[in-house]
Amino acid sequence: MDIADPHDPTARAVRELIALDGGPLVPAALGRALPERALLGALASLAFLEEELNRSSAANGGPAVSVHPTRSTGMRASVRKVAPDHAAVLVPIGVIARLHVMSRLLLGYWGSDKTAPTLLASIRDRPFERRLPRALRPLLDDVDDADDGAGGAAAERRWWQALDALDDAIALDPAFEPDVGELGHLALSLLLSHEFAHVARHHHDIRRRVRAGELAFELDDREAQAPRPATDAELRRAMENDADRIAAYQVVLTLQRQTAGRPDDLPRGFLRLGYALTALLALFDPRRLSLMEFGAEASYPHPLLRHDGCLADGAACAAALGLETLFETEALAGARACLDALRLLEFEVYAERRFCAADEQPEPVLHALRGSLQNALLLARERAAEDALVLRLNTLIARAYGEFRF
Amino acid sequence: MATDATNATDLLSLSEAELDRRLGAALYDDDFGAKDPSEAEQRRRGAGWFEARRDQLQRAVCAQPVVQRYVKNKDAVERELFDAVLSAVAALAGIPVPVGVLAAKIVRYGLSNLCPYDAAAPAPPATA
Repeated sequence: MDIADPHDPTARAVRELIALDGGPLVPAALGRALPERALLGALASLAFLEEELNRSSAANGGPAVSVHPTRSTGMRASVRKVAPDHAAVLVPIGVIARLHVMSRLLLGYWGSDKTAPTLLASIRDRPFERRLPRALRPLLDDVDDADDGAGGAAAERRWWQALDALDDAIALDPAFEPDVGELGHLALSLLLSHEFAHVARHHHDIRRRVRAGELAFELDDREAQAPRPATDAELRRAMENDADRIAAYQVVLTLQRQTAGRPDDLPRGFLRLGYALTALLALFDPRRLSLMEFGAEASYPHPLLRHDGCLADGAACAAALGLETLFETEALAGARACLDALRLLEFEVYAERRFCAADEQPEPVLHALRGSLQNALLLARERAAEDALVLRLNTLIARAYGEFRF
Repeated sequence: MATDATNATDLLSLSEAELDRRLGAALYDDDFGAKDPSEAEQRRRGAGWFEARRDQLQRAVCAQPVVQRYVKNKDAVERELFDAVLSAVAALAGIPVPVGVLAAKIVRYGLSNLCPYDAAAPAPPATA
C-alpha cells in the first residue's frame, strides 16, 4: 500500500487514522531524549516487525498489516481494521521515546550492590492521585492535559522539554547502549505482537458480533449454576489476555528464529525479554492502582496478572521448543533484575529524594508491579479467573474461526 | 438516531470539553489499544476530528435556514438551533460519532464561529 495514494480508500483511511493520532512523525519535532541513532533503530525494529506480522497474518489467512509511527506524545499504541483486508497499527513516538528513557533509567541499576528494599503492596494502597516527582511525569504519566486549547502543540513541546531534562539527569555507562536498543526492540516486539493479535484473533469481529447478539460469549455463573453472558469488561479482558498470550508465543518464536545458528545469543535474548516485559508493564500503567483496587469493571487485567501470564505463556512456548529451563532461568532473572531496579528507583525517590524538587513530597508508588505475601493468594485467584476467561474465548475463536497457526 | 427532549437538554448542559471527550470516546470505539485512552486523549481526538471535519460540517449546517437566521439576527433559542443542527448532521453519511453529541458540540462551539455571516447573502426564508 502506498500511503500517499490519493485514490486508494485504504490509504486514505490510514492517513485519517494517523491524523487523529497526532499526525505523521516529524523528526524535527522530537527532543534530544530520542537521539537520531535510537530513532533509526526503533524505525528499523518497526519495519522488521511489520514483516514478521505480515508473515504470521498470511499464514492464518489474515489481512495485511501496516505499522505507522505517529507524532503523538501519548503512550497508547493501537490497532484498527481500516478495511476488511487491512489493519493499521499506530505507534506514538511518545511510546518509543519513553521506552528509550525508561531503559536508560533502569539499566543504571544493573549490577548495583545496593539491596533493593521490599515495599509491600498494602490494603492502604488507595487509588488516589499518586504524587510523582515532576521530573518523572513525562516518563510515567499520561499525556499532558493542561493545554488542550492550543491544539496540543504547546503540550507537545513541554513534554519533550521535560523528557529531555529527565534524560539529561540520567548518567548511563555508554557500554549499555546496545542493551538499551535491544530492550527497546523487544518491548516493541511485545507491544506490536499484542496489537496484531487483536486482528489475527478476530477480536474486532467478535466484539461486534457479541454486541449485536450474533455470537454468545458466556461464562459460568456459580450462584445460578448456569451460563450467563459475559459483561463487556469481561469480554475485553479476555481479549487482552488472549492478545498477551499470542504476543508471548510470537516473541519467543521470533527470538528463537533470530538466534538460529547463534545459540549462545539465546540466553541473553531471554534475559532481555524478561527485563523488557517487566519495564513495559511498569511503564504502561499510569494509574498505578494496586491489585486490590483494580475492580471487576476493569477492561485490562492488572499489570501483575499480565506479567505473570506473559512469563507463563513464554515458558509454555519455550517448553514446546525444548527450551523451558533456559527460558525460566534467563527470563525470570531478567524480570527479577528489572523489578529490583524499579524497587531501587522507588526507594531512591522516596528515601533519598532522587528526582525530587525541594517543594515536592512524592509517594513511594511509581508502578503497580508490586507483589507480596499479603496478596499472593489474591494474585493466584485472579490469575485463575483470567485464565478461565481466556480459555473460554479461545474455545469460541477456535470454533468460529479455526486454530491460530504460529 | 433519535435525540429526545431530555437527551437534548442533557447534552446542551455539557461543557465543550466534555462533548469533545464524548466524540473522542466514540472515535476510539473501533480501536484496540495498549491501554484505555485517557480523558485528555479522548478530548484531543474529538477536538482534532471536529477540526478536520469543520468544512464538511460547515457546508451542511450553515445552509440551514434556522441557522442562517440566527447568524444574522441572533434571535434563535438554543434548543431550536440544536434541532436544526441535528437534522443537518444526521443527514450526513459516514459520521462515526453520535449525532446528538456532535450537534451539541456545534452549538457549544458557536454557530457564529462555524458560519461566517455574509451580509450580502439573500435573506433566509422565514419559517413558521
